[in-house]
Amino acid sequence: MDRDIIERVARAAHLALTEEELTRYSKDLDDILDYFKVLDEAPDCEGIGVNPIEVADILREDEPHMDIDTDRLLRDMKTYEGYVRGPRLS
Amino acid sequence: MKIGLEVHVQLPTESKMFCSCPTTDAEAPNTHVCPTCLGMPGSRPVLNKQAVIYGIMLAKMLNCSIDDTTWFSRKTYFYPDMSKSVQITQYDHPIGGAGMYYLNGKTPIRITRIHLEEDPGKTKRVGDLSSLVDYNRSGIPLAEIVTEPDLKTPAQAREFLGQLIADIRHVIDLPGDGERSIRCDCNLSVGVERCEVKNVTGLKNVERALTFEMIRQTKILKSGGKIVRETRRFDEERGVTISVRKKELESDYGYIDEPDLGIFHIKNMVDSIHIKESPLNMTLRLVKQYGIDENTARQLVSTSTKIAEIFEELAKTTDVQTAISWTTGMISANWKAFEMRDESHEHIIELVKTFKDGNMTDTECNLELKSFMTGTSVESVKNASADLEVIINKFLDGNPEIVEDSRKNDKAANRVIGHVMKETGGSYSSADIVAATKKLISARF
Ligand SMILES: [Zn+2]
Repeated sequence: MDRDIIERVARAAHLALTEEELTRYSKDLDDILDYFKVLDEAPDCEGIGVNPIEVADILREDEPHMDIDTDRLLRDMKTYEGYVRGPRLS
Repeated sequence: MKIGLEVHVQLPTESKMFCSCPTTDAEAPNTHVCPTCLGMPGSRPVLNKQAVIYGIMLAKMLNCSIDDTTWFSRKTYFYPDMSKSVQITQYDHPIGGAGMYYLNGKTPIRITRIHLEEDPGKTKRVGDLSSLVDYNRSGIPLAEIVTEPDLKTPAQAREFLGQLIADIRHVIDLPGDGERSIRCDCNLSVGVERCEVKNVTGLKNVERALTFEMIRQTKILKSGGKIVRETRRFDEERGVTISVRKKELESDYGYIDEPDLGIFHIKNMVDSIHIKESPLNMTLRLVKQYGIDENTARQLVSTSTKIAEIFEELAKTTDVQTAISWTTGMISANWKAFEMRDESHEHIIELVKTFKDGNMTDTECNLELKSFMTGTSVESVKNASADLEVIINKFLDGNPEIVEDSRKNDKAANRVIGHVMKETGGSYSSADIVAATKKLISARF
C-alpha cells in the first residue's frame, strides 16, 4: 500500500510511526485489504439498513437512573481527584 | 464574504442520549457515568426517545424536510474526551434535511441539515500538559444545525444566532442559561478557501471571532498570500483565533453506520408532533393579523409570549387600540411581579373589559390591575402612587422647563425619571415612574 496513505491513516489515528513501522504496516495492511476482496463477489444488498438482521425502532423513555456504582467503574482506571487521567496534550 | 455556522445545542432531556445517566449538574467529576458513556467494551447504546422528539421539533422549526427513515453513524474521533474513539452522530440520513430559516422574517438563510449526536466529555489541561477527563458531559444529546454559507457579515451572523437561540429556547423550552449550552463552529471565507473556528461560546464571541478571521484573511490575501484550509480556535481573552490543526478531510472521519442502534422509522412521530409558534413568527403574525406596528409587536412578544396572548384575547373582546395600550402599559409594567404569582390571567382580561364597558375609570382600572398583578391591597397601591406623584410634582415645580422641553423631545422626561430613581432608592419600578411622569407632564401641557 502507498506510504502516503499509511502516513495519513496514522495521522488520523494520532499514531507516531517510525520508518520501519511504516514499511511493515504498508505490507500488513495490503494483506488485510486483500481479505476483504471476497466482499466484491457478494450479491448486492436490496433496500436500506445498517445490519444484516434488521434492528429497528428501539427507543427508551427519558427516565434517568444509575445502576452501577461509579467508584467500581473507575476502580481500575488511573484517576486524580475523580478525574480520569488522559494522555499528554501537545 | 461568506459565513456558515454549525450550531450545537444541548437538548434538555433528563437522561443522556444513549444511556440512563442523569444530565443534571453533578457535584463531582465522573459521577454521572456508566459503561455506555464511558465507552467500555461490551456496552450498548439505546436511543432516548425524547432526544428524537426534540430533534424533530427543531427540524420542523427550521422548515427542514424530514424523512421517515433515519439512523446513526460512527465518526472516528481520537481524543480522550470520547473514550470509545468514535462519536455517535448522524451522517447520511440525518433527522432533518434541506431547510429554510428567515432572519427577521425576511432574509432567507438556507439550512443544510440538522442531525443528532452525543456530546464528548470535558478535558482539563494540567500544568505538565497531561490531561484530566470528566465524562459527566459525555453522551448528553446535542442537535447540530448546519447552515449554508448565506450569512454576509459577522454582525449578521450574531443577529442570526440570537434569533435562532430565542426560537430554539421557545420551541423546546430550553432553560434560561440556554446560551451557555449553545456552542458554535464558525466557517468564514473572504476568498476561495475557508477556515473554521471551532467551539465558540456566546453571541458576542461569535461576532468577535468572525471579525478577527475576516481581518486576518483579508490581510493575507492583500499581501499576496494564500489561505490554508484549517481548524482554528478562539482565544476569548486576547480576542484572536489560533491555528489548531490542518482541517481533517471528510474521508479521515471514516464514517460507518452504527449497527448497535439500528434504524428508526419516525413518520408517526413526525405527524403527531406540533411545535409552538416561534417568537419571530408570532411577531410577524401579530403585525399582519391586527395591523399593529412591528416594534410594538416585537416589544410585546419579547417581554413575554403570554402578554402577546393576552393582547390577542383583549383585541378580540375589546378592540386593538385598547388591547395595545393596556398590554404595553400597565400589564407589561407589572408582568415580572405577576409571573411570580401562580395566578391565571383571566382577571386581567375582566378588568380591562370592565373599563372598556365604561364601568370603571382609567385610574380605577390602573389601581385594580396593579393590585391584582402584584398581590398588594388597592389601598397600599393607592398610597404608593400618591407618594410617587408628590415626588414627581415637586420636581416638576422646581424645574418647569422640563414640561416645555417635553413638547418637543420625549427624552426630556428622563431627567425626572433619573431624579426619582435616585431619591426613592429603587422602591418604584422604572415602568411605574415612566408612566406616572408621562401622565403628570401631559397634565401640565
Ligand atoms: Zn451513562
